[in-house]
Amino acid sequence: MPTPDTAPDLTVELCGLTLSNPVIAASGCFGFGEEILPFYHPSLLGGISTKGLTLRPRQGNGGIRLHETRAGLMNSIGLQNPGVAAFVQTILPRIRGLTPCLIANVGGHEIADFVEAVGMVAAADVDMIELNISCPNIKCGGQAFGNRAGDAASVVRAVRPVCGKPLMVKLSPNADDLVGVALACEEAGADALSLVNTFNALAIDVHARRAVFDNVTAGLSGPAILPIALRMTRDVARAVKIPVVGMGGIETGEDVAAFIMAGARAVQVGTAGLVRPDALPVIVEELARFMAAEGIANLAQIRGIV
Amino acid sequence: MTTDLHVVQGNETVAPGIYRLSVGPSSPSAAVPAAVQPGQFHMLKTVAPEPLLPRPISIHEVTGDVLSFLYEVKGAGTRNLAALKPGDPLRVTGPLGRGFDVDALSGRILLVAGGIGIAPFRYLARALAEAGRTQVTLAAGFRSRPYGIEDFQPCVRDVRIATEDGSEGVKGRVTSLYSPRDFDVVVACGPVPMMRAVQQGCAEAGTRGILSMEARMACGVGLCLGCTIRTTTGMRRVCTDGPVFPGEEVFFDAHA
Repeated sequence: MPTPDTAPDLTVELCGLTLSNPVIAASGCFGFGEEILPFYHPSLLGGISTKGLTLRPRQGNGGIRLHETRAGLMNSIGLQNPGVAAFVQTILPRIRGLTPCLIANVGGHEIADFVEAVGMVAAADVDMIELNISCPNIKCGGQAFGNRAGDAASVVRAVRPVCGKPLMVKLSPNADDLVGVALACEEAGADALSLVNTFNALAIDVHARRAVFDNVTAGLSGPAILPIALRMTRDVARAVKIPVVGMGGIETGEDVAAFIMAGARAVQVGTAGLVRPDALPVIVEELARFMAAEGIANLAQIRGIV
Repeated sequence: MTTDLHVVQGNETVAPGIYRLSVGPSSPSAAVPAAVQPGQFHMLKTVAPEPLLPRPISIHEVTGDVLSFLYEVKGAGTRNLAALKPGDPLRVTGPLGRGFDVDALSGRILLVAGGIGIAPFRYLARALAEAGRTQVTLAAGFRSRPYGIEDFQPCVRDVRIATEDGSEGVKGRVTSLYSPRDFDVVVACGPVPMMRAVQQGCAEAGTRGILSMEARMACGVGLCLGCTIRTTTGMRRVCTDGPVFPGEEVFFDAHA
């Protein structure tokens, strides 16, 4: 037990990087880390996962992109991003100094695009790659790569040789067999896993008698998904040997502690930072207070205890 | 820009479903409020857990460190706002977005408001008057009884009113109140069909149009790309690239 005046140790080791705390800004909810500067400096966080990057620039989806639900938020942004070349050339130099753990999130719809994009980003000055395998695979009839173990493994195996940086694979909760996908990614060479991406969900405008979103379905995030994400994080953390970064609806420091107890090495926070711009550093402070109050000296003491 | 709890000072109904909310800093030692540009907005969220997201509300007036907002109750978020009483805490994040560039507005200026789109024009009209603009006209359209149009004079020299039910002013649409050729610049805020009509009139007349756009938002600070609109320079965020856009840059087909 630490003495009362000993500040708890929030540091986390992730794929050879030492994070000052386990709270990483989730991809798609933090831009490229610059927009938050009027509120706080992102170096207060364990790391940043960038907006999802694709080989070529993408305009993203038309129509409504957001729909609020009870305790949740549905989104259908459609990976609007400037493309990996623009990221490497113009954005990365601006944001490199914002965090010692800069994770470039890379998505794609074809394996060849994944390989080219990951190769370009991994050769640049980023600390880690997060592979978003939730995008529909055009060659497989629109089914997301992350939905089936074989598809997921084939992407990871393809990008592994061109990825000289730690490779974290972001899993979709919509997978047929999540633990099977996780094991397949580990076997194919992933250094870490992050989960969960958003839940495939549906909203209907009953007055207009049609789906709210042009794509009919959209991804659900926010506090509504926390208990399911927590269960999935535990399922995967118990099945694999590589680190698991948990996420899904985290709003408080105690939520972070729950994910660590479920076996997560670190966490990502997304939607909470949209609700309130300074949510993430507040969560870090809450976690430190929780640990101090509970006499937890470091996160290893509670990791995977449930 | 800051995010912190403010204290509600007043929250009165000014018309059916229309409220005027004023908030001040929670303590005298609170940070000096950032200068607010007309046309900027704040994200407002009560301490209630639901709805999850704050609501973007444009600035109506700034008096010292007191911010005023004129808003229409449209859903769960604004219903929560309407229930606020003096003394209640309210999370206020802002000022946000790119507002009106007062320096770039000169000559014969027309402000076109549709319904609650009147909200940002009070503060803009005052800023224009303080900048020495003397040829400002307000054209405001409402479904029924007008609101938020008091106190514009002497900042504007002419206030024109249209109501769809004819209860006050000219019966009909706000666009029937003016000819864009009579103005050097038209500044509009209102529902999308009105904005489309205003911009179309400006384009035909060769008059510069400036539009304050509205969109569903999550963060309000540029993080999520949820509030984008289609423009001649690609998908742009209403929250940080706007809400004020040059009219000729906005594509309206995506809003149909």
